[in-house]
Amino acid sequence: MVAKELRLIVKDRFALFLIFLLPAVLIGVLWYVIGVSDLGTLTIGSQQGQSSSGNTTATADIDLGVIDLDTTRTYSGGDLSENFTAYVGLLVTELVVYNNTHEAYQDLYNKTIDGYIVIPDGFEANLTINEPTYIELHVDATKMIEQSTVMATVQGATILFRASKMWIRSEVFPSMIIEFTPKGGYVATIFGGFIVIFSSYLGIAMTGAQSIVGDIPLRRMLLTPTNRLEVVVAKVAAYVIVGFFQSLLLVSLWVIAFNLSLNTGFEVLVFVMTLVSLSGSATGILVSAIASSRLQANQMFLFVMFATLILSGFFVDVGVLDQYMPFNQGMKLLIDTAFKGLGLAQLALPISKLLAFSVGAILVATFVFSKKPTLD
Amino acid sequence: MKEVPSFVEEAYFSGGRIGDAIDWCIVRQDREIHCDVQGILTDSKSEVRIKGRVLASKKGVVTRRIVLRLEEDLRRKRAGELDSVLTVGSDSTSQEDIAASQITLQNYLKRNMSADVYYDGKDLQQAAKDLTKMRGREILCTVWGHRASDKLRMTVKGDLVSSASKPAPILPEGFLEVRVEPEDKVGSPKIYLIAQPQLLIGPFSNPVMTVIAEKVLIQPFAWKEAPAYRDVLVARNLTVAIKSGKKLIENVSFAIREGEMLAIIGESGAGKSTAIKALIGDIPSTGVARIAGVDSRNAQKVRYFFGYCPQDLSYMYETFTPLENIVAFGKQYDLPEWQLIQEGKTLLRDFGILEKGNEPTAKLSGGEQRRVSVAIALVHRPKVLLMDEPTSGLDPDNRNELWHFLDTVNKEYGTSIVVVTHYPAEAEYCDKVAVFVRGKSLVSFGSPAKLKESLPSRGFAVGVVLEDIDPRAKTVLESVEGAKFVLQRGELLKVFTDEPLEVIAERCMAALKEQGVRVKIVKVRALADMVDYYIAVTRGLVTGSIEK
Repeated sequence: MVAKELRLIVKDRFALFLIFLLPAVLIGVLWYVIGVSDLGTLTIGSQQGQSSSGNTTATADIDLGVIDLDTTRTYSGGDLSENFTAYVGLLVTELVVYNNTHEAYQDLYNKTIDGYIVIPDGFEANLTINEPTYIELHVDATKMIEQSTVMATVQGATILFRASKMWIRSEVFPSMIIEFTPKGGYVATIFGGFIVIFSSYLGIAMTGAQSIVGDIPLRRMLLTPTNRLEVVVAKVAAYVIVGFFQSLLLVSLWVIAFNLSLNTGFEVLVFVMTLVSLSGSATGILVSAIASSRLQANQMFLFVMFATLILSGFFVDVGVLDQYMPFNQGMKLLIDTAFKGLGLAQLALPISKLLAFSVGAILVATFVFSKKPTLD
Repeated sequence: MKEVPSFVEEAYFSGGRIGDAIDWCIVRQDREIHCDVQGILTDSKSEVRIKGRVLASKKGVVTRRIVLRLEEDLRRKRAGELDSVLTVGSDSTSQEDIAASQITLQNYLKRNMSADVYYDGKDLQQAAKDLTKMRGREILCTVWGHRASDKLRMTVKGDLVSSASKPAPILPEGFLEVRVEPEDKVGSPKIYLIAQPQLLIGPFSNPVMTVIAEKVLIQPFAWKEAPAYRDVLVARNLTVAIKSGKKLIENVSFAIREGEMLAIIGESGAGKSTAIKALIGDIPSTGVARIAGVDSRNAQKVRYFFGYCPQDLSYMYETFTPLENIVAFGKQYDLPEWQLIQEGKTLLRDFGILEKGNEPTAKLSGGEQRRVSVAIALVHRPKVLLMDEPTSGLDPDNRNELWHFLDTVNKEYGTSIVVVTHYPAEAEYCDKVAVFVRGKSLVSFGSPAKLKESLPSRGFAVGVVLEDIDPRAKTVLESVEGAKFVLQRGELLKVFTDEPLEVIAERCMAALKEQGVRVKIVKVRALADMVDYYIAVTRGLVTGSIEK
């Protein structure tokens, strides 16, 4: 019996493809992601005798801004705020010095920098009289991974700064201020946004994945004068319509349940979500066109789901792939509209990327579908 | 050869009794009625005899008219072309094209499946109203009338551009716009305004480009009409090969005429389904494959001319109602929804399941679902209905019922039916049979009677019915002198021979008696059936014949 089952699997090339090749592709993707992500340099356990002594410091791949508002001059040595700024500069790729917070905020919005530090007036004075000292650290709410890197870098700089001035007794507390967060709970906004886009994209893709392979009467319909491109486009369109209503529901639930006040209109959100549904629908139809049974479609969808999650950029930095993955573009559209308040005209590039992906997936699906026989 | 399509009812009327002829037509208004008319052409006063299909018949206080679509001009000496639509009146009329002296009406045993519609010029407002339902289709319009400017008689034929109706002083007035391509493709197309004849004031438009209509013929499906063809289904040297070079079928040649039923029988893997797939252009093939004169390689066009009914009933949307299924599939043929609903209801009524039209298909019984499946395949009025093993898995009673149903469909709608089946006995229901054998493709084709005649003694054999099944009997009979071969089905054995049957019968009796095999009945002239023929051909006991 076991031998029979093994023979059955061996003779099913698609099963072999799913069992061996797709996991290998996922591993490859993870390898790539680790290669481009800072998290890849993290190691577990001891350094096994490798010494990190000396004056070398690890530089984080982030750009920070600094606004030094400290005018106090109570320490006889060098200017403490400038000294602290220099330590921060040691740990980052580029340190930009701003004269006012407005410019720094604008650069953070434009993603030129990953965050900025405001050194308040009285920084040096407080340190010299051993009073607790606060600095403001402004980070981008929409960049989850960078947030922690920025925080760690500033704390590292603080430690180095204090270690170099052993007389300092008081603490330097970085106070994190998260920018571009719509009014409402932080977690509800960020994770809610992720879930909304995730549901919209993968929910539609999941049902779309069954649409051709599970539509038995369609094979009979293919003997009518209809053509396969028409079939694929009709199915995509149908799921986009469903996606439109799904978006209405999801966006309403998201906004109402968490009492959010987003920085864009409801219609823009629905448009974005519908666009995400379009790409989800095209993804699902492509899966359905490739698969030759419902089981295969289910299996393929699972891999699409895992790949989408890994490459979403939400958990790890995925480098250049972030610019092309449809889910990531959907997230970007949501963040830029709902959080940052950008208009659709300013987001022509991610919109056109989503449209291009959808059109490409539809054409590929049609090509694959056209190679399949109509009758058994 | 059977006359196809056949008519069963014929009636004769003199020109003076045209009112009765019209009544006869009105009673059979959903039937395809053909007419043979002898009479006088009112224009030229010359004698005329024509054959045509009845487009409309009208009986009013003043008007008594039958309108024909000309099929054949039977005048011995041609005296100019006749209009393709002619009106026939009584022998004393001067208003109609023909004053009839004799009218022969023939009621064909099938529904009127033609989609063309006729209107009198003064009914143009009705035409405009009806045409609003046909929007979105390419409609060919032919108008006979006279030019408003100089009363010159003219015929305008072209694509319908628009239709409208508006109130007028006495009656509502209808207008059509017809775009006419120039003759010989020289010059640019012109748009003529087709106006309704008015009693008081003429149309307010350019009189040179206005035609006052007398007769209007609307052809909604002219764009997809098949070319003239002799055989509705033709395969000639049809060969299908796979990539490895292996030929699945080779040099398959057969043809059926319109209205005929064809059974394709053969064992599994003999190439029956492959032949069907090649015929409908679903797989690449070499040779000739045509349906309704359209080359099957032109897959998009040929699909308008056949309907496919798969074996599996899951090839319908089971959550849809039968009518929704009909509409879903019918829309692929560019038919408007209102027409699909109308056609669908007619089909469901004819098939006895109209009351189930609004229930989910899944809730219908197997037989009802099969009828819905056939209705789906027929809604676009195909020339050929292809059925893939419709009787597989059915008990003999249901099989019989299905075949009677298919026979009704064939007669009622005049649709040719091709049935792929595993059961040779079912071939008896059909006009033609094609026998496929594994590795040899088509080995026999012809009418069941002709094929059976190719058996020894023109299909007659000595029939022996045993008291009980006896394994020795077949061997005993095969050893009888003069016996060519013996076919056994249970207690019945048929001994085929070229020698006189009486002589062989006596020898058989003697041989069986000698061996102690008990015989119940001996029939000297037992007629072979298709099962005998099929077994004989597939076992190589007789050589198959292909009817040209």
